[in-house]
Amino acid sequence: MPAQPQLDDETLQRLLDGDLNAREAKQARDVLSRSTADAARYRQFERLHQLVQRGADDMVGELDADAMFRNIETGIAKNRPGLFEQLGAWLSEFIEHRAQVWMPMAGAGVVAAAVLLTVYAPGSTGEELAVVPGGNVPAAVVPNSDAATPNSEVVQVDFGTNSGTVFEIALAGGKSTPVVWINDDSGGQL
Amino acid sequence: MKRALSKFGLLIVLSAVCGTSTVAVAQAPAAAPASATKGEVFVVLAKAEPGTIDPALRSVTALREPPFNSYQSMQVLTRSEVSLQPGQPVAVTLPNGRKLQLELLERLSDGRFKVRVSINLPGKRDYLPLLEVMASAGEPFFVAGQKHEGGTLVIGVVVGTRAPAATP
Repeated sequence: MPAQPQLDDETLQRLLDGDLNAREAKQARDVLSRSTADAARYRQFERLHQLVQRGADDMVGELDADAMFRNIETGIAKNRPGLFEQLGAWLSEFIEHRAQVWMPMAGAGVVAAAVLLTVYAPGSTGEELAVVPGGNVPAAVVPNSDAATPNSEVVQVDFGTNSGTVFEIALAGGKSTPVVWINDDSGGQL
Repeated sequence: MKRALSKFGLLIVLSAVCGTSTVAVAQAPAAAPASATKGEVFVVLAKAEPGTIDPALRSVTALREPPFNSYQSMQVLTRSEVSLQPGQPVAVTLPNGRKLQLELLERLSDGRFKVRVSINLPGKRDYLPLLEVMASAGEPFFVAGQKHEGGTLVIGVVVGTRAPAATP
């Protein structure tokens, strides 16, 4: 009879995302080290994460959503059914239980868009800006390598009349950096 | 509570369904009073054609990861150092004539900086009306996608003090 899992899905997901604090992460990893059932589920989550990330990589190149989902589907098809079921469960949970978040967010988005149209309408700048002309070519651009610093996160984004997406680039040491990618259909025309 | 996987899915769906909406993504931790801090905006022209990668970008590891690693040439066009103070937005002129506006909103208790970014051209519709980021000190985040001179502009925004350069 297989051992009962001791870690719930959310804990596993947060561990994978690096969202647990040091104490929680240590406890979770201790459980993983002695629970083969939990370790197996954690590996499934890891695989899922990789599939989604691979889809994201495709998406950003051309922002081709079809290719992204094809890629994810292909990856899923190569894996055992349990993984597919897990993704299905995740999507169901996401759609059903997050609806309470989506709907207010959609409403808030409409209101916010109306406010933004007022605040950010061309020619309606309320304050004089300090304008910094395009600067010199740098000697070097050196990012901080302090792994203890929390990662940057996008709080909100309004693409206006454009379309776009937000994704994260995973870096070494559990770090990541967000990228806001805007579809530019203008061909460079302003 | 945040889960990157859920967050990612949410962004995909919302981006696809309502490209004009304002999307709330993350919850901000408690804020501390913000004081002036340094910032930097560097603009890279990335092209798919074979070429060179600007040595100045050697340490920006994110640009060596997908999707940026599909570009075979990258040239830093401009770098602008700015002083950010709460309530005093600064504007940086981009190589394509648009202006990137950067404003420090607050310094968060976890050491990050909450900043607001927008990109527009006076008299034209806003290209990026609003972006708010909780930026890790000294770590660049990126706004990319604008077409320019046969390539794509990749704008890196750094808020806060950078760590000393690593020994080569």
